[in-house]
Amino acid sequence: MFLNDNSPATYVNTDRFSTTPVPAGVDPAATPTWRQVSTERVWRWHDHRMHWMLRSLPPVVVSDPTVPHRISEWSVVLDHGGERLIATGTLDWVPGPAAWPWFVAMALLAAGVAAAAYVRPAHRSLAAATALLVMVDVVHGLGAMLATVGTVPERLAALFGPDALLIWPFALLATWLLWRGHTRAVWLAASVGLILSANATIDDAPLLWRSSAPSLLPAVVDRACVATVLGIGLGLVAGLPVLLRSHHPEPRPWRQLPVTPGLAAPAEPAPAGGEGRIGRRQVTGYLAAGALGALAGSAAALAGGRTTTPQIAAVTPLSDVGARSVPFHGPHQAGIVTPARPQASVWVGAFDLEAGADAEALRELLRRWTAAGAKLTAGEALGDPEDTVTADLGPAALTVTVGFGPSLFGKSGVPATARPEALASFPAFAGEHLDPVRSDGDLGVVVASHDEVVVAHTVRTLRRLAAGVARSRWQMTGFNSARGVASDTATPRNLMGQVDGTNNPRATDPDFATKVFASEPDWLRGGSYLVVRRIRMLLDDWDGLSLVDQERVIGRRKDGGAPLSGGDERTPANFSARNPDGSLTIPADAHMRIAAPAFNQGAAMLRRGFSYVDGDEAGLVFLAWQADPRKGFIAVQRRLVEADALARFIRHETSALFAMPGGIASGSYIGESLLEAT
Amino acid sequence: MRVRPVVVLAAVPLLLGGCATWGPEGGPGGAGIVAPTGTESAADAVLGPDGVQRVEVTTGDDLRFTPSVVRAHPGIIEFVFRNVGGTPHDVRFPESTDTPGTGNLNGGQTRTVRVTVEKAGRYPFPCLYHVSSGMRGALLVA
Repeated sequence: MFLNDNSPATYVNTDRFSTTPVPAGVDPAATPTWRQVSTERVWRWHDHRMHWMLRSLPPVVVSDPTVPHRISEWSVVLDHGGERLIATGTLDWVPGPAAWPWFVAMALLAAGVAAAAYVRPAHRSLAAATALLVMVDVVHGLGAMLATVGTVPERLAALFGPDALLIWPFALLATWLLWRGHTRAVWLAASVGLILSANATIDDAPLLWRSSAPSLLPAVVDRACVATVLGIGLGLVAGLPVLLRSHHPEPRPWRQLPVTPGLAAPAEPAPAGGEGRIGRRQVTGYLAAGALGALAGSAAALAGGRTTTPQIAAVTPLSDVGARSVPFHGPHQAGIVTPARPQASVWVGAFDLEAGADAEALRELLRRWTAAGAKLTAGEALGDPEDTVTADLGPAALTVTVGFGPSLFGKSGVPATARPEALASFPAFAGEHLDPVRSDGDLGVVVASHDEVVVAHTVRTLRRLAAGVARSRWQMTGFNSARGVASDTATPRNLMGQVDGTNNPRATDPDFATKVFASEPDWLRGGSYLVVRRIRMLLDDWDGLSLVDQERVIGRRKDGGAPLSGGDERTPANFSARNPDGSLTIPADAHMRIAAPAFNQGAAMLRRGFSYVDGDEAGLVFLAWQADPRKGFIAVQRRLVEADALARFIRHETSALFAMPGGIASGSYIGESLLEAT
Repeated sequence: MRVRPVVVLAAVPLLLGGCATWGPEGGPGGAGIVAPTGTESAADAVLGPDGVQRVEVTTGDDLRFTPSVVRAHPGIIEFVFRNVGGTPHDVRFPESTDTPGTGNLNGGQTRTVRVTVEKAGRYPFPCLYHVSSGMRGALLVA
């Protein structure tokens, strides 16, 4: 997670009352200055939009606190890899229940505890009351701890409160001594009762008359806990004189107890060499045992709290998948780096221009595609009332990305001289048998969405708009896990079961743009070269390998995707690591070694692959985006066909290369920079 | 003779647990609830010899504008926003085309903003950071 140090919110959100000054020069409109703040998937911040900022209450609440009030409605707009997400909520005043029943219960409980000191067995009754007091206080603390979000120390602090850790051991000691019949122990019990009830009064009493509390316990249980602590605590204080009067304490030994100063126990110095019934070491032991018990209990609760968290915590709830939209306009075409995670469904296809299509016809086609793309990706209808296929659907993060193949140049008024050198048919790679009918093309189009109906309808629309100007040359479809099924941040797995894409360039890499986006020629600035390859996986052969052999082919573990040299998925591979027998840990022909940028003069590309299944055939619709295919796909593929152990298990069947122009400004159309320059 | 200390001890939690420790929401039944100190106030912008109407608006930690309503006539209105507290603010004029607002205004800072209004009406100037806590001002042009 990264935080923009150039945004005032970074400073304004620092503290509860927003008193941190914003440094001069911080400008939300300027280029963001990203600073990493978390290596986890979670980052919490204090957003002032969703709470009440003043130290006084809203006027409307003050005017009548006994009825509910809507204070404000807030929304926080989030940009998640180009997808617009909106978190919304409301701030409401909800009056709490009447507190007097709890006060009555407290008074009865206190009177009951004090009365128990009158009747036999008084000591044991007070011992039981003291034990119950601690138990209830622990339950209340656990409720607060389980509702506390944060680190283990923060959660433990919520359990123990300010000083419960210091008090509970003495309560247990008082319980034990009272149970054994020591009258003077009532001083200790009363002190514990006093301190715990004082704490409860200050910290927790408002629970009795407020509508919500930071606790995982049901509100009524939490209130009962607080009332019980207050009732028993005050009852023990009241029981102190009662017990002392009816049972004159034995003038003896446990005076010698070393009692912590500050508690209300007698503080006479212990007679030297006194024959105490309880020695110093024993007391230390009891205190330690009490503290350990409390720690063990809270650790168990913490562990329990963890297991209730679903394992795939990063999965986004499904309710808004349809409503998501990816901006069509922007510095780059959508569908390359946005949305951050490829959609669930893709259609890739090529069109060839009809023989008679002139320059104006091509321009008109691209204008129509641009207009349709802008509307459909925003979830708007095209204005044809009979067009009801997606009438009830959102765009589901629809993207439409369009570009030009080498064969376009020299046709329909596009001069052959405008073709960049990099936009040329690939050299023949050794061992490849490509299907020319399903390769190349004048125009390349990628349509992707989380919903297959949206994809199908968009493709149908684009083809309809192309009628008479361009006809479909080839097409293929692919899929990924649906949104909400897989974690948004985990690397997807391909049909071989391997995580695929770990070493992709990341948007946060400093050289990301120079790897992915073209800077020349002028008409392609901000665009990207798309390599499309249909790569069949020979899954029967692959499945015939043992797990160990499969991992050696790839160079990564199959379960978590970690390099065979160790660590986790993101750990950089140690290509020189060796096994005890001297062989390379990541074999010389392992796919990850051969494909690594380190062994290809830094060649890198952004792979956004999709799986396909076509009857018995299955594989990968390989889509790779790069600034220059000669420094991306071609460089890597040359090495792969020479040495890749994976080559035996895959077969490249089709191939195409398109130059996809840069982002579309509002009011212009796809490829305008190429077609208007001519 | 043992009763006295007990009475004192029993009183301690009640003394410690005064309403002040329970936050602005107060005690049972809304007793001791903390009312806002900032109140709504209005002032007129003053026409200067150069034809510009001027007004000074202070902001503070009470998350209110003083005055919160500024009355003026169509023309150029010059606001001087003076932040006398420690909390940063960012005053916006969402309906004005000639200024976005003050930008970030830290505690102790002062910034001048001119808006040109041709039509009568109510032109809000909220604080971007604190609008949900009710920090809204309004320019009334008549």
